[in-house]
Amino acid sequence: MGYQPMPHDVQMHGLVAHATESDSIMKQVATLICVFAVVTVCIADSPTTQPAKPASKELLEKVQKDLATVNSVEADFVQEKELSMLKHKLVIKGHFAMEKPDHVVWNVISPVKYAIAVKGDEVRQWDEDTNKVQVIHLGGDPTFKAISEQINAWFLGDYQKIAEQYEVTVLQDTPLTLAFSPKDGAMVAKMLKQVAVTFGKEGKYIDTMVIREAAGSVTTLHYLDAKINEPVAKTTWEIPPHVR
Amino acid sequence: MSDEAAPHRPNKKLILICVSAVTILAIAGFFRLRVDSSLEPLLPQNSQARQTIIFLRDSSFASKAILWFRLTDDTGTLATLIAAAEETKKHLNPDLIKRAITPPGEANAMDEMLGLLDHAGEMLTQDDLSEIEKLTAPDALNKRMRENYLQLTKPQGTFLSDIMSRDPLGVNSRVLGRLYELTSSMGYKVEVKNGYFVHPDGRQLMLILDTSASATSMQSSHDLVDHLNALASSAPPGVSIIPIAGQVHTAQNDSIMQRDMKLAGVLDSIGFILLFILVCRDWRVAAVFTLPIVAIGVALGISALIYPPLSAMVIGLSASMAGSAVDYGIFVYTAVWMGHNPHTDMKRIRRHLLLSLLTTMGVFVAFIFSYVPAYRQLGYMTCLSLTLAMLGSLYVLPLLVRPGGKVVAVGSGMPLHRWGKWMRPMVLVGLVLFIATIFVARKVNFDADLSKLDGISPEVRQNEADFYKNFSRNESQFALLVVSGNSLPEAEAENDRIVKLLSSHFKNKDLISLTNFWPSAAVRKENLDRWHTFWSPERVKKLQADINVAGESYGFSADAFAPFFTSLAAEPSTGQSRQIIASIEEQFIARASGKVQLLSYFEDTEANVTAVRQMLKETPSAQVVSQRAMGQAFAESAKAETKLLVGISLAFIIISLLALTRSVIKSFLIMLPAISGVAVMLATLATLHLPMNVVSVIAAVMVMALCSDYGIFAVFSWDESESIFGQGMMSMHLSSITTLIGTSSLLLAHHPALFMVGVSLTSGLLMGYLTAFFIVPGICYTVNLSKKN
Repeated sequence: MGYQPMPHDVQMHGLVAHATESDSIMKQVATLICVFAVVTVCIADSPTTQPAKPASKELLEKVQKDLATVNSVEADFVQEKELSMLKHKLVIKGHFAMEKPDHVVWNVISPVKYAIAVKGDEVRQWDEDTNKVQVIHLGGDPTFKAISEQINAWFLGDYQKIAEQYEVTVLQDTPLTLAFSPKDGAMVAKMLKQVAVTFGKEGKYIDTMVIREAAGSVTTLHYLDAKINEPVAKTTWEIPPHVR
Repeated sequence: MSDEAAPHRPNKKLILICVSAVTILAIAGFFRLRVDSSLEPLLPQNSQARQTIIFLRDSSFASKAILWFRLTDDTGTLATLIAAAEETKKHLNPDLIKRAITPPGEANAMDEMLGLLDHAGEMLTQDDLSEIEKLTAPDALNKRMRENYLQLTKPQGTFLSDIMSRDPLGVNSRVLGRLYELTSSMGYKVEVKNGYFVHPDGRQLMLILDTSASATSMQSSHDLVDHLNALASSAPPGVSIIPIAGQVHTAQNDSIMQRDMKLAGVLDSIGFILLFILVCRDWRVAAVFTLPIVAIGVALGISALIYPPLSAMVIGLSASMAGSAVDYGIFVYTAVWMGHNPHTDMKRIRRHLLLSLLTTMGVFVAFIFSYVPAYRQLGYMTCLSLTLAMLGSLYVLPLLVRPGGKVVAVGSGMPLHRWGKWMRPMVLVGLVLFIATIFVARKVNFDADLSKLDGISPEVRQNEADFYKNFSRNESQFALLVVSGNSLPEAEAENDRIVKLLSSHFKNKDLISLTNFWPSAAVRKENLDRWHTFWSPERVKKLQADINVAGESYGFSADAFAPFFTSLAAEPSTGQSRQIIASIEEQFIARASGKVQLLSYFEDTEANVTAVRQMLKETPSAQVVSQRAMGQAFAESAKAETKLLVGISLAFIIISLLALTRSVIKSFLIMLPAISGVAVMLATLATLHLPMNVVSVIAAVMVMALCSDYGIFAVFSWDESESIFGQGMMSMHLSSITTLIGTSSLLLAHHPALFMVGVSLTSGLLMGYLTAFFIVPGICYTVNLSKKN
């Protein structure tokens, strides 16, 4: 009769499982959705004028097959955010790298310095204000595990899995631009309206990503000097980031 | 019929009238009889242990069950698991399962969480307000605005602007942080996916069921477990479904006990038939074995007049005492069957029969004074059944048995006096062995842990271990603090008071209580009033101005935080956070018998349980529910009762023995088999690393009662100068053989409680018998006991 956690503990825990320590659940959900944005390369505004058509299974398989040849991506990025609470457009610059199977780093250089790296089960965060490295383990936190899964799904091309949660439509054939809209009932639908992804040459990497929030804000990610399947320097993965 | 027998036989009418009267009473009692199969009567009145069982019986808390879905091959996906769960839900029996508990919808989770923020004023205390006040200082605001700006530059910042505009000061981390603390320290590793609780590995899912079956009810547990097993057996290919529920324990224990009892019944029957064929070959011997059964039946009926709800375990234990009642029958049967004059034969054995009755009853008379209802029932019922069996043996059995028969080997063998002479060395050997036995027996410990008497199969045990290993966030076992009230506000207020009282023992997060997150309505109102007072128009106006100044340098617009200032003036509404509040209630609020119970959790350690029980000694509205608390309550109860019961027993037995034997040495010899039997029983338990527990205590009582009969038979035989297979000794041989057949069959039992009964009784009774046969005659010879010597 000793009390092992009883069945209904699960209910409450499941509800708050996405909340971590000092961050709120909202931040975690946002992280889950956005970290994938780390890797897109090159700039191109997502076209919206062409009528959208549903993406076929064959098309998603082809995208997935093309991306399967990518083992590593490294690029600088420029992220532009138009937020209603800011008077100006927020422009964030930095560097990004990812390597199969599970290594990602996102390094913001301006207007503030911030970095996050995910490797296997471990998430490391750093910012210049605190100058401390916060380490979180995916196994102990379902949210970051989900992030890791999302990164793999988006950038290593598990588009059929993504299609289980999003309606996928083709916005443009050349260059290929896909729009992902959360299905009804998904938690992200409350926050996210659409993610438009434009692929680069030969469809081997994501070129541009435009994120439209439900509230109306728009974030555009541009990637510069993308290097595909080139060795990533060890210093790139360092947290705190290596000063270049 | 001889003249000497005449005084017995003419009483037939009187006997018939008495038997009829008793039978009518018993029949009347059977109409009132209700059998209580719960543990409740076995626990001391008003004790913590009893309250625990009542809680587990009545509370909505204890009626939950889980179906654990697992993928069994690599081809399955989460969709496979969810499809299996969906299909299973369609087949739930509404008579047994009230509902499947589902997590809040994912689509609404964000709104629910944001809705909780509207309750910040109700949840935050004066200390929180003091902290918030510090955050509104210009320097702190400047720092906070930079943190907000930094958040916006992070990958997740894209989606934070909405939240930030409602909460620029980070109040949400105080509210949600407490919610997280409330659940994470003892929660499960689960994620909510598609409306189900799913393991992070995506290969396991749990479906939580709110059932109408209490784990303390045999029938409803069997019904539920049958249903859950049927659901499990219909799992689709590639998926296994495993029921995890307290009711599985109840049903499986009951089934194993029934199986063991059936096996024991078959073995006993074979043993008795063989004994009958080999020894007696007289159909009338059936009366000897029937008499105690009839006596117990009549006692059961009459007892039901006094205690309409009789404990099932008491009925079982009383039936076990048939072994002692059979002794009377055997003694009378052998005396009359082998004798020539029933009157003389009965007169010869009457005093020893009475002695046998009184020594056995001595223990059970003491039970009448127990605090434990079941022990009192056992005391009354056993005293009554033994007395009836004795009267039946004295007055009814002689009418059925005809003198002049033969029992195999009776009368043969060497005279007991010569046997006693030979057994003198055995006295010394016995003494040495007794000292060694006492030394070993001292190592036995009392263990009040009832879970060790749990007879679940290794498969169920392994399933539960795997389940908790896979899903549980930590390895701690939790104890429950249950605070009851007639209404939710009353229970909440009392819970607040008690948690505050316990704060001197528990550190910050060691007592996981709802009040830490969601205090009572009264406290929430108090907090809200303080919140409104804190956010005076002047303070709000000043903060607006200061935020604008601090945010300006980061580019925040003038109305960036307008939603926050709007929410300060709004009253909290439960509408948006309805589901999340309901989820909290599911875990921390239970209901039983019209009462509301607030549940708090703490680690089930000796120090915690002892401290909490001590601190809440005078608080009837609170109780601790835990394995350890139950054990402590049992131990305390046993300690409190032991002195009283042992005192009464000893006084009764000693006075009875001295009055009837008028000899200290005879009294000692009569009780010697009982003493050595109990000592060996304890030593056997110690050797087999088995503990003393509630079961073996009862077994010890039975060993004492039965072995004292062997002592009486042995002393009687010595007095009568019988042979080692004379009438008295043969009664002892037959009695012990029949009893040992019964008890040794339990050595094959799979159920730990029955196995323990088997080990305890067999070892104790065997030693009692050997003492009566080998040691008592040796001592009798050594001390030149009988005048006939």
